[in-house]
Amino acid sequence: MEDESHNNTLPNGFNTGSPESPFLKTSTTTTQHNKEQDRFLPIANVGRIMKKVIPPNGKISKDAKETVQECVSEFISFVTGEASDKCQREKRKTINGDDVIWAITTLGFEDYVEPLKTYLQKYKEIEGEKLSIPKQMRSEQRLQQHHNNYHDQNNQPFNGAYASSNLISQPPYVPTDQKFSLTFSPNSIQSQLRQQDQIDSVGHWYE
Amino acid sequence: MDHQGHSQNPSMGVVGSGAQLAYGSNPYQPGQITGPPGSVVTSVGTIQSTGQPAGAQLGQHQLAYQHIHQQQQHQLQQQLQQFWSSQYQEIEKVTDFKNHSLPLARIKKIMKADEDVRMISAEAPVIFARACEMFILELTLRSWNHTEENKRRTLQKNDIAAAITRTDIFDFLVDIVPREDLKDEVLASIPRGTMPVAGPADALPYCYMPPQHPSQVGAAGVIMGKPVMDPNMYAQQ
Repeated sequence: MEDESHNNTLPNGFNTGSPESPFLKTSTTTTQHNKEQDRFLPIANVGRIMKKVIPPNGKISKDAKETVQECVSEFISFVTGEASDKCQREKRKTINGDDVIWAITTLGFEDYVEPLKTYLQKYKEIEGEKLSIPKQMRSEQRLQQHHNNYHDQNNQPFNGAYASSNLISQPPYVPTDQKFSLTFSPNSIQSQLRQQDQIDSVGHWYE
Repeated sequence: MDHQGHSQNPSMGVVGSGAQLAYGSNPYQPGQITGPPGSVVTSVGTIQSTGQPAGAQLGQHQLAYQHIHQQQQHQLQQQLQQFWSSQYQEIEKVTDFKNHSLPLARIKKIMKADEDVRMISAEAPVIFARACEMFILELTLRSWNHTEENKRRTLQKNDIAAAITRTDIFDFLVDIVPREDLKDEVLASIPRGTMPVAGPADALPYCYMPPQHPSQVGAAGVIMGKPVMDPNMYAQQ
């Protein structure tokens, strides 16, 4: 028996915040905890997914959830490393969806490939539709892209621990996407620069 | 019997060394789950039969255990097939890419932990969200199989360790699971010979790595029963 419902981002954010509240004793503890947590996907999300494939009367220990958290991060790093190597060999700077699927194939996860290809195809179709919508709605789309672009830009120069801490401190209190979007949307120059680069990436990808 | 157990030690080192090489080179590419596992089961079953010339009582016990275990593995295969079928069906229904079961920003941050990673397109974390969900589901399904083998209703860390050691594509996770959790897998090494999912050669190394704890062996009668068959199982493998 499977629970196939999908959850919204907002409830996830709420769930993520709750477990971290006990660690608000000191800022040092909070920072340290957030650093650790930032390396993993939220344990609530992981636990919810795990429950889909065990019987209703089955239980999952906390250390099992934590172990799976670590395994998933390792999976992401493992696949990302393979995809990144491929991009470097082909002298491309941007890892795209096809690179991820290629890496997953190379690393032996054959069963994942067809579902993911279908998923990526659907994603492109829907995103493609969005690009053809009227100007007014297109500006909203540009805002969304701006958020993504700035996130890219923001991560490269701020490699220091302090900057990283600043970024990490945000998730427990407000939804990340919302915060970033509100803060950085006015920067039109940045938007143009990143948009230009985005176009280059897309063009290169099609070659 | 103790002597036989002790005589296994030299090969432990050798196999362990092989494990290191195998892990580093990562040569094995597992095929589709539905095909090879079936043939593996048949092959292993045959080997088991021919390898039982002595000890009728022991043979019967082993065959009974093997039969039960094969049933469990068959059940796991069915569950995995159903799982992958449902993945296809589920993805066909997807129309909204805004709702993810995993936060994209966090996925992106984990990807960025690799210094070689420069830029990530918007679609990559979306694909990863789906891939990670499938990964969690498969790992949990295989882990739960071990939980049921031990007649428990709570999935524990050692169940995940067992799933990792039994599945080739999860080799990259071996370092994440501490050796403590591998001990249980050593004690349960008997069924390994009939494992359809993991290749016998790949399965062996992790079985040998951790030494059996004397106090554990002495503590439980059930555990005492298993080592009796260990030498034969090792010999066959």
